Amino acid sequence: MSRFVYYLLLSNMVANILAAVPRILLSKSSEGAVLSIILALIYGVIGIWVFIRLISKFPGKNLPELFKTYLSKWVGVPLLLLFGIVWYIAGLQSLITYVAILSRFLTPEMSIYMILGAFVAVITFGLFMQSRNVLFLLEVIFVLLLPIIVLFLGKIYFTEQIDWDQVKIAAMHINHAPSYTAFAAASYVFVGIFDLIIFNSVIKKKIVFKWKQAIIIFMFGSITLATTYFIPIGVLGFDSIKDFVYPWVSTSDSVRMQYGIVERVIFLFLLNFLAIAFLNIMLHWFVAFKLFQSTFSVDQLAPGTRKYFSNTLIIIVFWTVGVLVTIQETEYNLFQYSNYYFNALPAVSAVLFIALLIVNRRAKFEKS
Amino acid sequence: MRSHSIFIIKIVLVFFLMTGVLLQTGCAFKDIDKTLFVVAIAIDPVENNEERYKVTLKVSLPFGAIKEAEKPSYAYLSNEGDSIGECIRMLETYADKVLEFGQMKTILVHELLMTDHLKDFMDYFMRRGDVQLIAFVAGASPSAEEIIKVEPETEAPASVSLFNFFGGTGTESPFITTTYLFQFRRDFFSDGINPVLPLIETNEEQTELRINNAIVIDQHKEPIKLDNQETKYYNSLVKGASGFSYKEIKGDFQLLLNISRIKMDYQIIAENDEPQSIEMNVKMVGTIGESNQPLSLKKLDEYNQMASNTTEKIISKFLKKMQEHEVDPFGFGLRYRATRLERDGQIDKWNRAYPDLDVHVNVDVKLQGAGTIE
Amino acid sequence: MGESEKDTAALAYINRLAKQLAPSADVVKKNLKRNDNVVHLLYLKSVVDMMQLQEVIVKPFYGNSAEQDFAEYVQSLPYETQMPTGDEEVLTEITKGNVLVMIDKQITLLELKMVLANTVQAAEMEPTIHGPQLGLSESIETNINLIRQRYHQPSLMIETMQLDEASNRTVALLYDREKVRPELLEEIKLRINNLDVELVQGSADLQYYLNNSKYTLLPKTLLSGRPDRLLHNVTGGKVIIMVDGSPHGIIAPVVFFDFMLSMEDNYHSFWIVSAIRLLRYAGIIICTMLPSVYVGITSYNPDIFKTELALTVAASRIGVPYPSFIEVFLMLLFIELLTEASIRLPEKVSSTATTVGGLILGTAAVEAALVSNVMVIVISLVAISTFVIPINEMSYAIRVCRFLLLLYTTSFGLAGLVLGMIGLVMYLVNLNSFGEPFLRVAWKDRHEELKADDQ
Repeated sequence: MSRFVYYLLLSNMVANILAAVPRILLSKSSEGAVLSIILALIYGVIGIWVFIRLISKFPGKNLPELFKTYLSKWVGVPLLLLFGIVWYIAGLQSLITYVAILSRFLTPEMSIYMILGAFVAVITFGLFMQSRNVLFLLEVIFVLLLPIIVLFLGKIYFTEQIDWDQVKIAAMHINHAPSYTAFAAASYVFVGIFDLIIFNSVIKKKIVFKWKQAIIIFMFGSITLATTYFIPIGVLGFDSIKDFVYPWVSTSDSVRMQYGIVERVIFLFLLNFLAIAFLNIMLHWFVAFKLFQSTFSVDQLAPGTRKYFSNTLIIIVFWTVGVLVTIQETEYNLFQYSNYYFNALPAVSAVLFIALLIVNRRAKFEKS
Repeated sequence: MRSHSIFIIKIVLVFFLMTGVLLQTGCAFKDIDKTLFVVAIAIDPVENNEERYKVTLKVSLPFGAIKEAEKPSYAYLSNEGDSIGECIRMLETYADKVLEFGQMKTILVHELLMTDHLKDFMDYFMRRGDVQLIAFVAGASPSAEEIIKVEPETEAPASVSLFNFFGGTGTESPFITTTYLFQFRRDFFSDGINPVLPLIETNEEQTELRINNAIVIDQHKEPIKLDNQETKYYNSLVKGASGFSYKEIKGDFQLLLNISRIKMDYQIIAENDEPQSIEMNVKMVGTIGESNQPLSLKKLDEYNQMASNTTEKIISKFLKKMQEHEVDPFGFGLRYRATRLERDGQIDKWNRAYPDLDVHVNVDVKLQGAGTIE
Repeated sequence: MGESEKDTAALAYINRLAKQLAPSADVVKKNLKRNDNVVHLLYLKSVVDMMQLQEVIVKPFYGNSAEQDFAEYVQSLPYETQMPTGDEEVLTEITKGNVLVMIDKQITLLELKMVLANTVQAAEMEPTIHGPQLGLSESIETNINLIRQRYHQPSLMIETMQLDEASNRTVALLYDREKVRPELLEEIKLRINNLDVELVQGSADLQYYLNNSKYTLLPKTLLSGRPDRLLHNVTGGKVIIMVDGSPHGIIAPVVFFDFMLSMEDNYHSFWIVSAIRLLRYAGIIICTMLPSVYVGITSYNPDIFKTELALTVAASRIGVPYPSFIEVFLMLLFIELLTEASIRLPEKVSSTATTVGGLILGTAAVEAALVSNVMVIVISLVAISTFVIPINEMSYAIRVCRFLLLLYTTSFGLAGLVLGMIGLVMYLVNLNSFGEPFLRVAWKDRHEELKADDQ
């Protein structure tokens, strides 16, 4: 499997440590979160296996191309629109969470427009990049930042800040029936792989998915989910964890680096994760942008003024909706809507699988 | 055409950035010399009024030449109000600069407020978001205001004494308990453990700080004060603090041990989820630091035995006292919950059983030498 | 009869050429006569080596016994250049230092040029301690000679091309036939042939024209005057473009990491080189980010500092009338001025300028409480770490980036710093130099993995 596929997967996993997933999981901590996580792990790996099997038949082809070739326009275009919206929301949700975190912890006095403004230029630039350059960017940022993040997480695991008894208490809640919301939220960490529906066009080599890859992904998933769920409990306590709106930010604030350049780890943590989350937002929106482009057949236009303005229009819509929603949303709303969104995702992935299955059938049929 | 428009877009962008910079005068942009660093906060009750608090802030003032300053300089702001938030809001009008709470590392609470009130304080500090969760929480006696105003003679400019006591920054002593805000909150709200806070006192001239006692806090009870022996044992058993002297007495034979390593673990024995007893094993490794009689290295085993027995007795007594007061600074209850599947009423079962549990303490002292003389 | 007609036609030709060159003072049209033999010479005396002309043509002509055919002798000379078609081209050759020799009807061009700038210069732009000390010269022949002498491989190809502009400069492409990518070669040739400029004076401006985008921050090719660097890149499958009259070669394509490579790295052992490289990357990070970090922390998040440091910084800013970003802007501007000034000034004066500027002004500014002394430390650190970047063009680009990043941080705080930094990385990643991505993490032997490079 190309290392870029892992990067896609990892970017979503790491970014979600800070975003909405832990809060939802922790809110269900005494209602079956542990079992849901285990189920989500299994479901995630199987889901990735199915997806890779379906898409690896067409190396170098992305989803819009496949739909155009094998599906009728009346089916393909609405589906692309649906996926475009789903991906757009995925990015938007990360964006809102981040803007909220920044305005709460990093620059409390700054207006929300200003904070959004910091994102606008950079993300817009990212949307116009070439697909392959997006992957290179991903790699560069990962090479620079993942070591710091791993160091930081390692630091938390091995300090006295964690009360392992609290973690064990959380684990002892395994005897509760799993909750669907927690399950959907936990399986969201695997969603990164679906970005392949666009990036498959630059991965010309056939993707191999065997036991080795399955185990690697399972490992990544379980480390991410265990960290996401158990570390905040260990640091902040099982009984009062539900009070925290941003459990991971509070967790990072509880770590002290006595001999570090910066004693309060929270800032390193926030800024590092900001970079990763930025990548995540950009990736999701990049995919959404490409999907919208093919939904409205913008990619068919010859390069020129018309194409340029169509693209600009999509970007303007992106940001208008983004800004409006960000300003409207309260923390509670965000939590609620994230819940709905996560709940809907397994269904969306099922639709994607079915569509790909039909594409596969037709392709086989055409060949013979 | 296209590259041209992109160029225009870039120009527009730079323009916006420039105006952004120029408009920066009012809002989030605040220079460091326009801020006051609050380094500690003290919360006291107001006399004759249960519901009002007095809040005192210790503000560290920067000096032109820190190296040349002889003493650190502080300003103190204080105000009374119905809640901490209210007090601080008012205090912001008492100073010409922005009060910056990001550097606040010590929270002092008056002894008498060590009960249910703590919940309100914590609520405020957690909610703010800019207060460090690694701030140290401590109890203060006779009053928090007096303690916060102590400027010890050993204090150097640009370093705050109240910070150096805790977290192994400066002095390291087994008598000093370090409790971070997040830790305090976690233990405060958890069933099956009680948080322990250090108690800061001062001498009469108010020239030094003394921290060698601690308080065990329970949401529903009066706080229980630990004397300095108990504090020491608590710190060395739970936090693994070492490098101190244990006094061992047998008849008129006195030994003072320097313990370099200490390790404690315990099990909760239960039958059918019914807690039966606690088995505690303590391992101590160290050397002899002081003796009132000549020593022989051959008799190290004998000294080991003697030390083990006395320590066992002290620890058992300490635990018994905790059981009598129905507080659990060690977190036995937490361990109990952590070792079995969650059930309804689990914690009640534990709370009922805890005061009468048998505690077996087994101490194993290993002395490695007698210091530099025999 | 026919003979003499042809003779006159040839004479007319040479006269025509002479007339076209005529107003110039250095045109020489000479006839050498001995017995019946006549040789016509046409050349520009300012670019022709007189001694050689004397040795090669005049002496043999008069010294030879009559029986020997002088025409054949001339043709056997190794100095011959190919005869181009068309008057213009012939004239161009003459202006380059060729001598037009006409014996009877036979016309030959002999290259007897004199180049006064073929001394090899010390490599001052990229000095090393251990590596070779000499760089290229300003004559292309000497340069090619230098390169050939260091790389004895038949696969080293040298292709010369003629630029179509006022100076008609010779441009040479150097590459290793076995290592170069054919598409890359095509692309470079195409760009050189399509150049539409008035005058090329040297490698530096040719490089600028080759990039063919007006608004670019970073160079997409690399200038180097060190033969060892040029060859290092030739072995890496790159193409060197050399321009006559310039002591630098253009290396294309380049990636970001080429700019961070000093030739010194090849002359040390592994661990030392690794440590130095680490230092260099630390330097580049410091000099881009430090001013922004200072503004971001002091003005947005002073709680990042440890308490002691926060107090020290706050103390050092007491009495400074300007907000931190103006302080930084002023000081950065000051240091840029200082750098610019010391480049322009003669060497002996420039050290005085730096002392006055750096030490005296810096101290005085702090004394007068115009800037804080922490600020002075920050700026000096930034200035020093800028000089750690081995390639000059990169350090210019970084200096500009620094200001952009500072702007972004001033507007958006530390989040702006991170986003701005990512923006810079994005810009770098999105650049390409002759089809090669400018910045990417290149693990070895993974090239086939992402074969989307041609898209």
